[in-house]
Amino acid sequence: MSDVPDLLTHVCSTYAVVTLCSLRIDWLTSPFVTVALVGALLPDLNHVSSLVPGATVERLLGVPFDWNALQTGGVVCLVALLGGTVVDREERPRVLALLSLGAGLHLLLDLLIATPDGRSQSVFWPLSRYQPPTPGLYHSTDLWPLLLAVTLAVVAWGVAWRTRRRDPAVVDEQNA
Amino acid sequence: MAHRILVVFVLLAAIGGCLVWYGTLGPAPTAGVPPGDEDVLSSATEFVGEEVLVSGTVVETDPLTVEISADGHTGSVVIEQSTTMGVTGDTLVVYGDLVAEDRIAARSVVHKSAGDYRRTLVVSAVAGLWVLLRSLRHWRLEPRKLRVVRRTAKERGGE
Repeated sequence: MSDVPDLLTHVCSTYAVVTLCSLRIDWLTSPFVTVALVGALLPDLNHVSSLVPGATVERLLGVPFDWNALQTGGVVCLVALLGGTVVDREERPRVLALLSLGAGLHLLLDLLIATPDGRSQSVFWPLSRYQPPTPGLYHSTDLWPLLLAVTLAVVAWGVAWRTRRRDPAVVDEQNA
Repeated sequence: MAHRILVVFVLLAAIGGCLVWYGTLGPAPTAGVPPGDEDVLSSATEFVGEEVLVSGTVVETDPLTVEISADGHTGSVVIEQSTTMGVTGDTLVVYGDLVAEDRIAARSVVHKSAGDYRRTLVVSAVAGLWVLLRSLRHWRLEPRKLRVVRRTAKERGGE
């Protein structure tokens, strides 16, 4: 399950999408862009296993345990709900939407990775363990998806910067 | 606030329950989940003749041998018929037939060089740090209230 591209690819691609959306959606200010970036990290929370291996937790609790559940669609939804719960009520729908958007983009990119068996991840669990076939668009350690994502993020940042310079009202909104 | 604590507790319990539940799951080849590292290490005889998917570090190139680990156990598996070799220290993800307890006839192999793998880790750390710094700049944690609050533009010093 370590077969995932680097986090920067996920974070930059989410940044590009959300920053471009922010030009059309008034409330999508920098703090909310950050929420989407946090969402892009959620499906890789299973990497906590590098610090605390699942086997250690199993020994401590005396029950089976697998951090990789954190990469499934169902558990990602629960984590996003947790994020929505700790913010104020008026922020909740926006935070939930952006955490879900970031996490959804991450899972979508993961579904395109080439794997030896041609299958991706248990993205529908716990509803189903079915792992959809992957088109094998790229390998997890390929450099080009990272370069593409960084380029898209820089372009989106540039477009947003130029737009705000031309329209001070957008700048005011960003600082709200 | 009591309501929030209750919901957080319920969600954490649900997430914890899912992590335990997932740990109880075995292979499901019809759903696209072949036996993996843990299955090959703990009960290889059960899966001889079946298609398996393992991920490990190359420890020897002649014969091509990878070391796999799961649940605190490690073991070596010889990979046969692989057109992808790699060098010691590289990571191979191998899909193939388990022809003996410690031998896999490869059908397909994904190769990750040790350098690429390290680069992925470093770049991921940069991304994590960037998001952490943005989060601290834009949001404020109030642990006693179990609450995360958006900072005002004044608090952020304008942007």
